[in-house]
Amino acid sequence: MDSNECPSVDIWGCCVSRDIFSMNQDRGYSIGYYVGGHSYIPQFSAHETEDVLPSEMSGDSPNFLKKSMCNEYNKRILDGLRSTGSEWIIVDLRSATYRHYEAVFEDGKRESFSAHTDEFLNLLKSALDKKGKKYELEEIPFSMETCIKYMDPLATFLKERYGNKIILVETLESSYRLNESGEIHEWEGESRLQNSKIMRLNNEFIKKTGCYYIKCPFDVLSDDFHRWGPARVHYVTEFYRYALDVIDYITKTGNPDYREIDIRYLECAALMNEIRMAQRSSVSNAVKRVYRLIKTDPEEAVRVTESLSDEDYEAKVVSLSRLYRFGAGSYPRSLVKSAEWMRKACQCNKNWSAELFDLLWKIGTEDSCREAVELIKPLAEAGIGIYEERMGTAFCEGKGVGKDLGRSAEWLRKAVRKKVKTSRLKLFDVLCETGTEEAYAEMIEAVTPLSSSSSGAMLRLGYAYKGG
Amino acid sequence: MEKNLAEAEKWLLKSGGVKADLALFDLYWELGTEDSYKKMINVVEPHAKTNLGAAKRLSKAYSAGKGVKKDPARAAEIIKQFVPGKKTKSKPE
Repeated sequence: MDSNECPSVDIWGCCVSRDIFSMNQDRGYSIGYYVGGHSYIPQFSAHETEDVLPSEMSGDSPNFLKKSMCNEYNKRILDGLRSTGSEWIIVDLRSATYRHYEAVFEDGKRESFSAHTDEFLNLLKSALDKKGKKYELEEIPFSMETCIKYMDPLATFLKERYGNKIILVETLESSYRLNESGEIHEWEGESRLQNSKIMRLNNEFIKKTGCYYIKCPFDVLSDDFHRWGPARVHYVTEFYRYALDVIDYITKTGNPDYREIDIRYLECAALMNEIRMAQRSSVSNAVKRVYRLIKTDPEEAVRVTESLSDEDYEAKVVSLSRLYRFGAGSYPRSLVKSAEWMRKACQCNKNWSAELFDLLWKIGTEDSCREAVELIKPLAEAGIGIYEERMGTAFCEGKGVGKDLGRSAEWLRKAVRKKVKTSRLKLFDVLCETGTEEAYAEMIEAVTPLSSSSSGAMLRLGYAYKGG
Repeated sequence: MEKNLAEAEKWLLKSGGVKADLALFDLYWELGTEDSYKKMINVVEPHAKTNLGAAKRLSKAYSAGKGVKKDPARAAEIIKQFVPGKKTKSKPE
């Protein structure tokens, strides 16, 4: 791989593996296929039923869930992974501990499925009903023996498909959580047995694959402010930062040294303990708490921000930036002052660059736009999609750089390849403004993949047909 | 891409929202049948009090008497609500 090229990865696991990428600022990874919440066991068992299509599944579930369940039902997950061309796979084995079922058909044949939520279970039942064979569905209790038996074909498949580019993420259930007031609370119930299962599965998997391993601190904390709500494996942001740093280190260095990985682990484990003992705040928990208070109780937002200690410097400067951005208490609304504090946040962590760019763009002077473009140019050149898209916008609007629709389209095409949310729509607009026959043809191609899901794409197709 | 007003209508209806409704108005105006004029009024009327583009289009329909009875006074009234003072020019679309 070229040193400037971004690694391509597939993900097979639970929300933890996905959130390592989604909870961090995009670092340019190209995600091929995310297999979310499906156990490997059914994929290596017999397929006794006819295939089902997403449209044949009843219920109001979103199409992506139906597609996901179809891949589980039709035993197509391995085919999906074979087709991506991704170099690396990130795996966690939590989904092997999810609910398993066996459909027992009237001819005595049996087929295995996993369905970890009621929504998945209902989709499974609707697919089985559709296929007409009489069946009874039995829930199968967790069996370590079965998990280990099916790990052999899993390991063989992954080694053939990815070679030694396999990274296993440990997904322990937290015992403590940070609530929305930043206080520590103990989760009800016991997680030690669940964690023990994960450790044994990981142990076997490492022996069978020789994979890289990202350890999870025993005292990992979960965060009620997590994007997907409170859960034992919805961790504080410090875990995701650590895990992505390790993935960066493994994928971007030819020969990773385990001591370097251990150093990162120890730093993360120490942070977890310090947050647990209220020696410091979790960055995202503190920042989100202040952000919410700015809207509901500005005086309290100011008090919380000012009470953050030196240990919480990053959370403090981000919060100060936001106090100025929206105006709260003794902090009058000022985008310029907001940008000043956000610059300090960027020195702590480049994750804040997008927010600083947006502030500078909003200020809208020649100098601020130029600074905005200079800020993100190296990040865009490093292949990070969200910055590639912003470069495209800058060249399209001619702010901070000279207007250049050709270069704008080039950046946006790169962002489209990284699946940045609005990049296809922006590429359409740029190509429409470009106005050549070739550009018109490409602009239709750009939005067609979104035509069933995005109202913006539908609108643009409508404009295109209307104008011919 | 060949100009195709039926396809355009299909995509704009699917899209929904003010921008799509304004484009639909223009499309129905272009179609120029009694039926399309009626549809044209239906798509902009709900936005005419809050969106200048919709107000301009509805006003244009009243001026021309398309889809509604010709009524220049009503046409002026629809636009007036967006003109706070004599010196203020309405923003171009």
